[in-house]
Amino acid sequence: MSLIKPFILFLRNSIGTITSPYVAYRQISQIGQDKRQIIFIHLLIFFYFLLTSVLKIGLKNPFLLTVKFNSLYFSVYLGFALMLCLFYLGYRLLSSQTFPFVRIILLWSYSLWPTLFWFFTTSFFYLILPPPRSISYPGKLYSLSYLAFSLTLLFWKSILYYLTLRFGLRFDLFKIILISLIIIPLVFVYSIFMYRLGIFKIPFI
Amino acid sequence: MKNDYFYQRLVDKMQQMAVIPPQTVGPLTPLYKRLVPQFKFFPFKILIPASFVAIIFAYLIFGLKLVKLASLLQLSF
Repeated sequence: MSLIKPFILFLRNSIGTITSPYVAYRQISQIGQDKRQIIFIHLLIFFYFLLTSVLKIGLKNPFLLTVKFNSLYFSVYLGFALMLCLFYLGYRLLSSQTFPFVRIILLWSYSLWPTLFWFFTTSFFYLILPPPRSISYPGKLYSLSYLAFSLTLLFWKSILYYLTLRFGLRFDLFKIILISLIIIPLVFVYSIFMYRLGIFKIPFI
Repeated sequence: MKNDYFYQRLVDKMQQMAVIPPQTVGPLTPLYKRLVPQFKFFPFKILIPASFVAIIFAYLIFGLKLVKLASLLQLSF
């Protein structure tokens, strides 16, 4: 089973989410897309959590390392499943077509790029410049740059979320706003739940 | 014409573009049509300056609390 074609599709669509997300998502939402292309982003997520578990726990205690990795990795897919359920809820409330399960999985998988990028960069800067930040000029400059970077990725994530609903469920702006009034509070509740469990301070959604 | 490769690609492209109807927002549609293309093609050219402007405004309002927020976020991975 050659993975070259899905890898090329994955690269093209990933670059598309940066350069022209509207066209990329329209392309991904077409019938007959190769489903294998999302293997690569899920592999990247797997490797990220492997590395971050080692970063947080270290290698001295393999049992704790395994527990940490498994709790993080399981929670990622719990969040993914939660989003699919919320999109399904949106479909049941506002749509009359059949639920496009594969299309939504493809689109939402690509929407994980901003999340993965933020988590990866935060881990990297945790190693290079560990917190807390000081109130000196370099400290303030770094803090404001980091917050601007985080806000940019949040905006990018919002765009990909909008496009997932637009091309995935074929919703218009009004329906997207309506369903977001249900989805966003539920995601907030999930975030609090993950925080209380000590798994994620910021959920990987 | 039916066997023409480029014609078929053009038809496929037009069908792809027509998969969802154009978005309208009533009387705000002209404004919407001017704003949205900025986000369709390389949205970072507007997202990055917008983020910096938003953070500068937030700094003017909240001051050093943003430094604490940055420290908290750095521990949130």
